Amino acid sequence: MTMPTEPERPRAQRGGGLILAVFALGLAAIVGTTVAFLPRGPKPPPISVVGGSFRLDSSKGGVLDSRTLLGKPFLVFFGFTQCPNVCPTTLADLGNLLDAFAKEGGDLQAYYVTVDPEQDTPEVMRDYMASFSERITGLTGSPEAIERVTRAYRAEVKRVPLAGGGSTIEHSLMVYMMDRDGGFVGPLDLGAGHPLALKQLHRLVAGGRPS
Amino acid sequence: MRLRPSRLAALALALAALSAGPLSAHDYKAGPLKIDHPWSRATPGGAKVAAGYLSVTNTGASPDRLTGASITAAGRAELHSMSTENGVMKMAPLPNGLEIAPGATLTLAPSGNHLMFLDLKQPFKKGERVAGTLTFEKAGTVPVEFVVEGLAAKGPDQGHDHDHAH
Repeated sequence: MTMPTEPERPRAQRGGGLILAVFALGLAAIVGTTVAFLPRGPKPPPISVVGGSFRLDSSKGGVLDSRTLLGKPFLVFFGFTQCPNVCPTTLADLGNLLDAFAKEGGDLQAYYVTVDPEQDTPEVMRDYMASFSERITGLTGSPEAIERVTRAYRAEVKRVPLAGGGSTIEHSLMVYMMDRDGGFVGPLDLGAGHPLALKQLHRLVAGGRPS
Repeated sequence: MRLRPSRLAALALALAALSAGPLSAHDYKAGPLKIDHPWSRATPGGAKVAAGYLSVTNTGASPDRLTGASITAAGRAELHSMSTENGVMKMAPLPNGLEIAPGATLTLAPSGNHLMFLDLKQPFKKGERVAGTLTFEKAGTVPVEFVVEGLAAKGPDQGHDHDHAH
């Protein structure tokens, strides 16, 4: 018995195989591209290491636990009541922005964490915050609690002496945009004007993260 | 707001230093120096500090130097630089003051060099004028008034004197 030899295929059939192979390749490319661009379900939780939970005294009375903020985006920033130049401007400007955002149907709360907990007692914070929008809540606490928050937010805080005695505090100016899971989205840019900042807030509330 | 009588007396005295003048741009001359519109901002509740801003143009032929300031409504005033480094606000005293070269304009503004008023005796309210002085190396001490703008003001005269295009 001899082994059957590969039958010679007619020329026309071999040509058909080549066309099929090219077609299959093309199909694979199309399917591959389509799959790559398919939506992949819900976004993964943020990988950001900036931010963290806190329990601090609220300028509106009582204790604010950051866990109660989850489910909605929020803003966080740092400062102190005896800050002459930048903090009051930021507070007033951000308050105006949040009020404008509310007029556009948005709802966002901001939390102003003191970096001077010894001076900024809950009473001091209450009086101070009364000068600004109700959408900004002042937060204070023990020096240890404040240190934990500033560390979690990677905020820089440094006390520097003044020429005529006393001291002031250098600190991060960033307004942190936090998403509904408490993850850091990015800094709010107040310097570029309210129209752009409002766009950022709308995107934050819509759940979009910058790519 | 409740105040103890002793505090009330102190407040009345301090308030006497203030006058609610019209919020027009104002300037002063001191020799070859033209001091333009000293201003400050309303202070939030409980704040014992404020900042002062202005510009000075030297129309003379020799340089002068702003070396200090005082304000009746505050315990003291210091000249500070302010800068932002990596998103952190940095402040530093300017012990040698700030030079104003001939023909140059020195501007103290919220985003940079400014006067810091410490130990405020009463809050600054929008629309008030706060009496003070500026001291120059050559032009000497010049009495001025700081116009108090709103809390959110980023520059002088916001919403008052200029024709804003809305």
